[in-house]
Amino acid sequence: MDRPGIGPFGDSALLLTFGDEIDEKVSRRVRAAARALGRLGDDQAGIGAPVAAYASILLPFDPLATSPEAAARLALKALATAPADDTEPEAATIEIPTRYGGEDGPDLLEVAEAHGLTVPQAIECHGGATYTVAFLGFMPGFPYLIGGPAELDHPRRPTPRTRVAAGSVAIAGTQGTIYPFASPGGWNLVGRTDVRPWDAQRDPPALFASGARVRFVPAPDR
Amino acid sequence: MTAGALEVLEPGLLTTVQDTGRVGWEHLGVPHAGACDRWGVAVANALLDNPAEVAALEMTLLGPTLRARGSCAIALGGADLGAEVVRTGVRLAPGTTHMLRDGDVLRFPGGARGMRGYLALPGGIDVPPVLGSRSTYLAARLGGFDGRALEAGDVLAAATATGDEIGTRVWPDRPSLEPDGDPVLRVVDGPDAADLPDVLDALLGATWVIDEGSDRTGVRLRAGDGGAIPDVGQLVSRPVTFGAIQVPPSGAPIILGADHQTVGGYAVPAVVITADLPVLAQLRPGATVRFARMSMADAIAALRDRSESFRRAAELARGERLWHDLWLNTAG
Repeated sequence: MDRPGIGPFGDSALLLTFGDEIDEKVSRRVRAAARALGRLGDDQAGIGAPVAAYASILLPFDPLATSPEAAARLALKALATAPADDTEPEAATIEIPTRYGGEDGPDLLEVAEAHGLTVPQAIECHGGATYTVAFLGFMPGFPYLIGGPAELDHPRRPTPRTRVAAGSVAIAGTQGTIYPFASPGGWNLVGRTDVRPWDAQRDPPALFASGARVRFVPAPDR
Repeated sequence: MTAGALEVLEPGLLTTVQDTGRVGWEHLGVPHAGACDRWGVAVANALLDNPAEVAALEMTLLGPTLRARGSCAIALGGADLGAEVVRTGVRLAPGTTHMLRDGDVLRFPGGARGMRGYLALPGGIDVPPVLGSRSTYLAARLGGFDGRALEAGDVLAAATATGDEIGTRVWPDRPSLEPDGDPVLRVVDGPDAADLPDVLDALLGATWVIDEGSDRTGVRLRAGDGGAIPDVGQLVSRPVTFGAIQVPPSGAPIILGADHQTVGGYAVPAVVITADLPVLAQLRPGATVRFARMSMADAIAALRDRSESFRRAAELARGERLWHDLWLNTAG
C-alpha cells in the first residue's frame, strides 16, 4: 500500500492522510488501512483504536506509554504489510424503505427542479443508486454514504436547519445519509425512513458498518 | 451496611454523570464524552480510593441541591462551587472528603472562579455502563443517568457502602487547574499549521473571549483585541480530537470539548496540549484567553509533569489519611 501522509494531530494522536477529496478509491484504501491499524492496538501498548473519515485516519496514542515517532513507525509498518487492496467481505446490500417528498422530504422538489428533473425522476435517480458506507461519524451511527447519483449533485443548504427529524434521508453533493437522531443539519432532506441507524439496545448498536452497500427503496406514505 | 445515596432536590444548571469517557467507539460516530476536567474528577475519585475510571457528578457553575439518604461519604474536586451543608453551615472546599449524615442537604450555590466541580461517591455513582462507559452523552441520550442531565427527584446511589474508615482527607495539591491570572492555554501546531501560517499567527497573536455559546461540545471564542482570522473555507471532513482548535469560515475559533463530534470539516491550526485540557474546562464565559505555542516534546513533558504531580499528591493524601487515622486511634 502507498505510504500516506503522516503527522501529529495534537500531542496524543497521529493523522494519516490518503488524499484530500471524497473518492471511492481513496475511501477503499482508507477502510483497508483502518482495518490494518485496528489490529495494532491489540498487541501494542499505548496505541488506540483508529478513527477513519473519507480520506484520513486518526490514530490516538498515549504519549506517556509511547512516543509520536514510535507510534508513526508502527503505523507505517502495519500499512506496509497490509493487503494492497480492500479485502472487506462483500456485504449484503441494505435496503432502506423511504417515503419521499412532502413533509418527509421538504427539499426534494427544490433539488429536483434545480437539476431539471420531475419529482418522480429525482426519486428514480436516488433510488437507483447503490451507495457505499465510507465511514460513520458526526453522531452515533450516522453513515457517510458515497456514490450518489451525479444528476442530484446538490450543495448543502446555505443555512443549516436547527432541527432535522430522526430518520431523515438526506443528500449533500453526491453524499447521502440517514439522520439517526433529531439534530441540527445542513443536508437536503429528500425523504424519511423508519429504519434506525442507531439503537443502543441492538448489538451492534450501529446498523451500518463501513464498506456496506445501501439502496433507498420508495415506500408508501403512512 | 448499605450504600449511601443522594437525592436531587434541585438539579443546578447542568449536572451530569461522567467518567473518563467512552473509548474505542468513535469509529461508529460515538463521541468520547466523559468529564471535561479530567484532573478535577480524578482528584475527587482519588480522595475516596476509587478506581480512576468510575463515574462522578460533573456540576456546571451553579450546582445542584442534594439530600443524603443514609450516611454517605463524598469527595469534591474541580472548581469551588460554594458547597455547603445546610444543617451545619459547614463550607466544603474542593479537594476534601466529608461524611454526610442521613437527611443532610448539600448545596452548591456557585463560586467566584472556575466552571466545573466534581462530586465523587464511594465506588463511583452506580449507573449501568453503556458501551463500556458511564458517561452521559447528551445529544444521543447515551449513558449516565438515563442519558440526560439530572432532574429533581433523581436518586444517585454509591456503588459501594461507606465504612467508618473514611476520615477527613485533604488533597495536598490544587483540586482544580483553573488559572490564577490571565489564562494562557499552551498549544502545539495543528495539522494545518504548515499550510496556513497566517491563520496560526492570527490565532496566536490575539486575545480571545470565551463566548456564552460554549458547552460540553466546544468552547466558542469571539474576538477580543486583534482577533481576526481570514476565511480559509472548508476541508473534506476528517477525524478530530478534544482540544483541536477549529476555524470555521466565520473566523471565530471553536476549541473542541469532551462531547465533540468525531469528525469536522474546518481547518485546525493548533491543538491545546493534553496537560492544559483541565485548564480549558474551567474557563468561564466572558473570560479572556491567549494561546502560547510550544514544541511536541515540551507538550509531552508538561503532561508527564502533570501526571507525576497527581501521583505524588495521591500518595500524600493516602499517607495523610493513615496518619490521621492513627492519630484518631491513639487519641481515642
